[in-house]
Amino acid sequence: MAGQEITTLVNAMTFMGAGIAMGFGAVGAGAGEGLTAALAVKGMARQPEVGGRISGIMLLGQAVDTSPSVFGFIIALLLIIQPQEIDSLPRAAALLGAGVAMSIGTLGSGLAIGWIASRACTFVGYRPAVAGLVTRTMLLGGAIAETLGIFSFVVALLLLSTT
Amino acid sequence: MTLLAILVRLKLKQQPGRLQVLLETIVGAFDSLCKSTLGERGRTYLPFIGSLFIFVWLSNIIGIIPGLEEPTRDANTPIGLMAVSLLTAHISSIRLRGFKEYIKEYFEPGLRIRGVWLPNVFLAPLNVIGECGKAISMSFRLFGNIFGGGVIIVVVSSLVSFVGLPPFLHLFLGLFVGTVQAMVFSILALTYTAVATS
Repeated sequence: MAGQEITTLVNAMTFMGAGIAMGFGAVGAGAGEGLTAALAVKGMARQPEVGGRISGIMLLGQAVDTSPSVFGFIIALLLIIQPQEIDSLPRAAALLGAGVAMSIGTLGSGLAIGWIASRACTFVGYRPAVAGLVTRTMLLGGAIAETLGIFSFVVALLLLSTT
Repeated sequence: MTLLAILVRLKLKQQPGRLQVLLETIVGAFDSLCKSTLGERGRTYLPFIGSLFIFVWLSNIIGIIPGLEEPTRDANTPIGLMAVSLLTAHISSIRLRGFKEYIKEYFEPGLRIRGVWLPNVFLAPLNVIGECGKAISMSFRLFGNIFGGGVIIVVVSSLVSFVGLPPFLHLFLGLFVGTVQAMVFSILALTYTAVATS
């Protein structure tokens, strides 16, 4: 896969799509996971005795937060390993569109899940007794927030399969 | 796994041993999860949710055994599991409230003109699209995560020539993400059932 030749402008657009998909795809999850960790630290400082519990919830939230980025990664890889004989501009535009759809869809989902998970970490520090309920609600809310990222993933897959 | 369950069942004691305590804890956690989401009816759904979780979980983590591939990496398995879970939600909604109320749900929130409830025909397509969205997101979440995890493991392993990193990748992407996604899948199935029957 490494070192593929970029022969035409049309071909270059595909690689551009891959770059955009993964580049913006990393922003949302990165910011979200950073926020989660930051507020987990806050929750721990407030209630040091539930620190283990909070770091568990933080890891769980970050694992859910990673998955939109994983979708972006898949699309980027699929774009990179596209066959070389793309010669029509509309097809290349569709592939670029797949990258753009995936990137921006991932951005929102990643930020949203990070927001949810970070609040979960803080408030377990406030009321450790309801940690189970908070974790479950966080997983559920994160899964629903991920829905739109999944829609853009499906749209990107459909765009990739156009001929 | 079935054998394990039968063995433990045969040896059930008033004063439990280590294995029995472990299994009782797991079953108890699922029982309280179902009960707190669905109320007293929750116990009816315990076998379904429990076996759904065990099936998805084993399917997700079986990839850590060399030479075996996760069944959930093929898009058909998650789609089938999604169909089963959503059918459960819809059928229990019909059984609990009757077919008329179930259809009426799609026309909510209805228009109220002088106190008379009228079906809102403009919202029906949106509600149907919402149901399809649920189906797509539920199946592709599982598929995308497991497939993506597998792809990342292969790509990164070949980048480092299979030295050092792969076990940790398997640990995180195989075991941890697989368990989290199995939990998310069963919790979603449970919640959709709860929403449909409330």
